[in-house]
Amino acid sequence: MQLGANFFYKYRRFVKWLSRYLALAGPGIIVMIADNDAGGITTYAATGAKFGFNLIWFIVLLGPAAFAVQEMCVRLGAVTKRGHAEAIFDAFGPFWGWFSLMDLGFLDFLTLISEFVGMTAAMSVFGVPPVVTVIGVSILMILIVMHGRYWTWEKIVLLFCGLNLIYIPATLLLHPDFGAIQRSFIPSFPNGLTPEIFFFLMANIGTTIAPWMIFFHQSSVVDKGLTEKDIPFARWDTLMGSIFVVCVAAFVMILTGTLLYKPPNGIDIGNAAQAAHAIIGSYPLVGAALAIGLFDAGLLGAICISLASSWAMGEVFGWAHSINNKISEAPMFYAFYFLSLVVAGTVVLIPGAPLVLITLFVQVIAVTLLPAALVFLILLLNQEELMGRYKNTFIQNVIGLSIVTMIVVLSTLYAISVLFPEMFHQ
Amino acid sequence: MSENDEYDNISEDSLLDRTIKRWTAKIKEINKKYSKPRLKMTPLVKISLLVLRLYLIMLVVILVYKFYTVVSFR
Repeated sequence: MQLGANFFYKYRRFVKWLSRYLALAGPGIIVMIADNDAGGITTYAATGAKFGFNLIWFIVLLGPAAFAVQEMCVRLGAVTKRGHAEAIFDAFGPFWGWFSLMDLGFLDFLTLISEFVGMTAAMSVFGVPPVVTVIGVSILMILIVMHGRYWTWEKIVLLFCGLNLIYIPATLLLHPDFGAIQRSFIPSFPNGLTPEIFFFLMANIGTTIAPWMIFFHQSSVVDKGLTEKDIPFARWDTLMGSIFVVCVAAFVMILTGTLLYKPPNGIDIGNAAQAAHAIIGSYPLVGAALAIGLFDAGLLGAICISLASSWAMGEVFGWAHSINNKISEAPMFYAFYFLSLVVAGTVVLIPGAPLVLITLFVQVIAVTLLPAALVFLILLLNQEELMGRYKNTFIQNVIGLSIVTMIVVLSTLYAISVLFPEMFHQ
Repeated sequence: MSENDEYDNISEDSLLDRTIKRWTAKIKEINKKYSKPRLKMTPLVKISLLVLRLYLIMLVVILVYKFYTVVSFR
């Protein structure tokens, strides 16, 4: 009897916890899955085609690193009730504030273009012309925010996040070699740490932790109205997101590793759409899933990136800047959101626009902002008067600083390798 | 130039003027609002910001060098 009562009590407690978690979940899962944007999927697909399953262990290691960074954003947003852009202005003054805001705006705009490039390439697999994709996506993205309710926006975006998991069934359809996958979790470099492998490691880091994620996550925590007491739930949300991000990345690698990798040197692919084109002839379902996933990844990236900039501008310029506001209540916030979408979409449609150059340039501009955003994050999290009992502990600082140092060094080397490709290619 | 054209130019200029003035005033207001950084400038914070400045200068130098090599290659 006592055992039954205990079980029922624990069950009721769990149901209560779960219902609260489901109500508060969203920002962490969205930011993490959106991190697997068009550029990310392309990087994972290219890594799988080039090295097979050999670098899956590295992606698994990046999950905890992404979690550690995003967990700090959750705490900062929930405690200060401010977005990252406003927090930088307030704590470090106008010089660093304007630097971060301008850099974020420019970087987000270029990244938005690369998302449109990914989406148009994905839809071209199904014969959809780029102009139709750009117009359709712009209308869809405007409709998503027009409700004037954060809750509605979040649930719609979570549906798109669910679609991002399409890579998992698509890969399972191929019956991959699970023994080889199991062995791939042991860190190793089959041909040694060659410059080429090093280039791919850096590219994977560059796509897993991006500056817009810090700004987006903190602002979405504030817009959702999360407070200090919600931090444990928001942590779980971020943890779930980091598990999803690793799973999707690993499954993309397994997919292209199974179908495209030819030992010992693998093959080079330019983008994920190219992989989908190569696969769709022999495996129509899998090729279509790869293209749909790429489109979805680009869409999620575009939604989050355009909002990250609009939130940041709203915070600094003092405009009303919540998705809970209707268009008439926050005209400047929505105007900036719509304008960035329309301009980025138009650039993609300009014949002869240097889209490849823009895609590469994104990585270079990212390293001008990422170290600053991460350093500011650590410094802010160490302010007792700002964070109170939620400030970083010694252990959190050691972990945070190690991760930040690794990210800064490797992402800087990646940017240098993009500028001077001969350094990392044999 | 007709009277109407002159009127159009004046109204366009004044609209542009007004917009620039409004944005300049807003930027000044933001600069004033955040003129005193709230963060305690401990030696560690100062060193971190200095390292960040040097890092950004290094990146600018690399970008300028890349631009130079591209231009001279052409």
